[in-house]
Amino acid sequence: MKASVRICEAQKRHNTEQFGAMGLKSPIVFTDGNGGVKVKHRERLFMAGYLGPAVLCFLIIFAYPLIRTILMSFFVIPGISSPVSEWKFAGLDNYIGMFRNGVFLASLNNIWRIWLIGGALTLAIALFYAVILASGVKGKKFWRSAIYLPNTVNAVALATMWLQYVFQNKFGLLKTLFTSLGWTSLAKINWTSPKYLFWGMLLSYVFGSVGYFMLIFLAGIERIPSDLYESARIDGAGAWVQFTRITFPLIRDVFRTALTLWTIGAVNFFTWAKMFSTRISTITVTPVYFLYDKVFGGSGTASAIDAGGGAAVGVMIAVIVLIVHVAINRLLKEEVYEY
Amino acid sequence: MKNKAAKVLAMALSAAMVLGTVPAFAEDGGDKQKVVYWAQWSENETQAEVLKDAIARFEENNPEYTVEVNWAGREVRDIMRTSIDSGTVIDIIESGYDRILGQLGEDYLIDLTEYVAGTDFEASISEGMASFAKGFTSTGDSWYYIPAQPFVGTIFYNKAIFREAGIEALPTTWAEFMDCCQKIVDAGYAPMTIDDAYMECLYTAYLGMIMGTDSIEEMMNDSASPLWDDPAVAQMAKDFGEMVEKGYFAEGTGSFVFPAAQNTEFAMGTTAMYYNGSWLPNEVADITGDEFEWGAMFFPAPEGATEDYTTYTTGCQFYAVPKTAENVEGAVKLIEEFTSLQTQTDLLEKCQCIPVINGLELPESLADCGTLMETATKAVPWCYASTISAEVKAVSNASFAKLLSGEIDADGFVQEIADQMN
Repeated sequence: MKASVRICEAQKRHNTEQFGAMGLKSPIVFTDGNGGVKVKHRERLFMAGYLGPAVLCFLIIFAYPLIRTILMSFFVIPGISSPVSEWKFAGLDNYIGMFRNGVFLASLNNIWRIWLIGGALTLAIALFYAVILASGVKGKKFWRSAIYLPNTVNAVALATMWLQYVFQNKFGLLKTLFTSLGWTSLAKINWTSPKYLFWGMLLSYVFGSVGYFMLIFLAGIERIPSDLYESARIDGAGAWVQFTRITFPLIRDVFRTALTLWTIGAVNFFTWAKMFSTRISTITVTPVYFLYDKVFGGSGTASAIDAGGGAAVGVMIAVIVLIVHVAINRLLKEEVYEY
Repeated sequence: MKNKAAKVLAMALSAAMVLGTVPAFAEDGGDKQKVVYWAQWSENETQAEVLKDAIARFEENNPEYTVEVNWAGREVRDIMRTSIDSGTVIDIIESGYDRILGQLGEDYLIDLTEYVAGTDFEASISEGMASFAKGFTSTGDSWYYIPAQPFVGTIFYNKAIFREAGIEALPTTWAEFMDCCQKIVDAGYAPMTIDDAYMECLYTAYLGMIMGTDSIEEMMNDSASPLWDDPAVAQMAKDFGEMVEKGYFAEGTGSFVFPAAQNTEFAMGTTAMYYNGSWLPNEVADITGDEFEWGAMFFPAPEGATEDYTTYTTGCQFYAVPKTAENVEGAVKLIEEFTSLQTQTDLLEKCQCIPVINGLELPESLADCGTLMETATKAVPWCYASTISAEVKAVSNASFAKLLSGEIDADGFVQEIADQMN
């Protein structure tokens, strides 16, 4: 009897170590009514041991800056790292000031257009490419790589290429192309002029983003069983019907994810705006560009630092992302299809 | 067998990892004192190459010191204050004068007056640079800021085009400037251009000549300032608008995103004038070659100017020693090397930098800049303001770009400014 208990204990210890090493729950199979509490305690220790570092990292890397930024947004602060003793309470002044600030409002207008128009273009083109690639087109691997290629290039290099070559007003790609095609009115467009600068920026950003979303859509489409399409074809469904009745409904969750990713990218729009306007300008300013100039003094002659105002912009960006995320979830409710 | 091989490999890798740390200890330098220098240059820039040589000389001549460099580039301006606040040890920080003054200032920096006293640096620094740097201190006579590289804001011009156009004397007034532009057009060239990065220099130079530095400082930092209603603003818009109408700006001006105008218009020799800083000849040296005939002029005085025609805008990169520095003496010695005749000569010859010390002759490309500095009756900060707020800059730059591109006229500019300045 004693020997069997010892064997059982040893096995219990062994299993516990094994399970613990794998990051799994300790083997409850050995517990009885009396020993259950003891094992639960051990489970908690395991959980704490494994989750602890991640939770700590989250608290340090995300929660602390988040809370500090929210707090900072209610103060006037001379520098981003100024000690709390130098903060002066301003209540909601930073927020009220922003909504009276023409440049911040211009940045919101720009970001709205980037999100809506740029989003519609990017997601539509990406979906179009994904559907074509999933349809069994020849050279699929090549086309997939070619469309994704711009994503492998650094945004600064890509923007420079657009600015100094594609949009160049005398010998640029578009100028040469449209002139050779005889499309003189298009050839005359100066894409970096104040009138077209925003649209030029948006066009190049869309070009740089399509490949990424194309891959996401393609992955979603490729998991749809091919027999659904075969069946639809037998029933006489054309390409459009197959897309609207099979493809799109079955990648709805993928589309929702893509829309959320696009929103996050659009709201944090910075590099392209900075590249298309070396100095801050209402034509291309976005909330993050404005925030950067407020907190770090911007480029060219320095601007006075307003870390509290910058924090308020940061908080508002976060709130916008949250609102859009909730709206997307409400409008595109999750529907589970089994296939 | 496989298992054994894996074990041997694992042991070899572990040993390599441990041994890999040994040189790091050895390089630590034993008794050597470390001087930490945060540069505003990227490691691949010509200035960095010159400074690397200077550091090598410093370490050779001062074997008790070793220098650790962070080639942070221009972005050093974004991180210097937070780095110092977070306790990062920096013995020398380098950035533009406006950043060092605005983000650090005397609260963050050590007064180096007693360290500098009697050094070669103090003996050789040019008077103009000394008064520029000391002028920003509370006493007006302290060494908190050590000049690293001065620059001049000017209208650069192509002397060959001016000669071809028959322009014998540089324009001193706006009316003469317009005549000059017409002659250039007649000669078949575009008179002037500007990149987006320097647009604010152009209109603040015009307004500054009429309104002075205090007014520009106020209006460029306060969008609600009544100074934006000053008639000088409408006059400025009218004069630049007239230049646009008469074709005095190169086609596409107002649309050039830096460095399009300087590279494809001015340096290529199709446009005669371009507003920029004295670093320009170095930036476009590969395009212009040695044949380009560089000229630089004072900004022509507009009607109603209160400043003399011989006023010029200037600035400087500064070295400074933060209060958190651990090796002030070493830092000052390294700064001495940076401002030595050898380093300044190298910077002048290899990077076309204006020296901070006396006794060096400027190259042909910067000779006119040197003349401006010598003959000027007044020096004012770059853009006539030590700071420019993001709110003001964003509106005024956008409207000025529209004016230069012909999208709006002078009245449209005034209206936009009135509508958008809060």
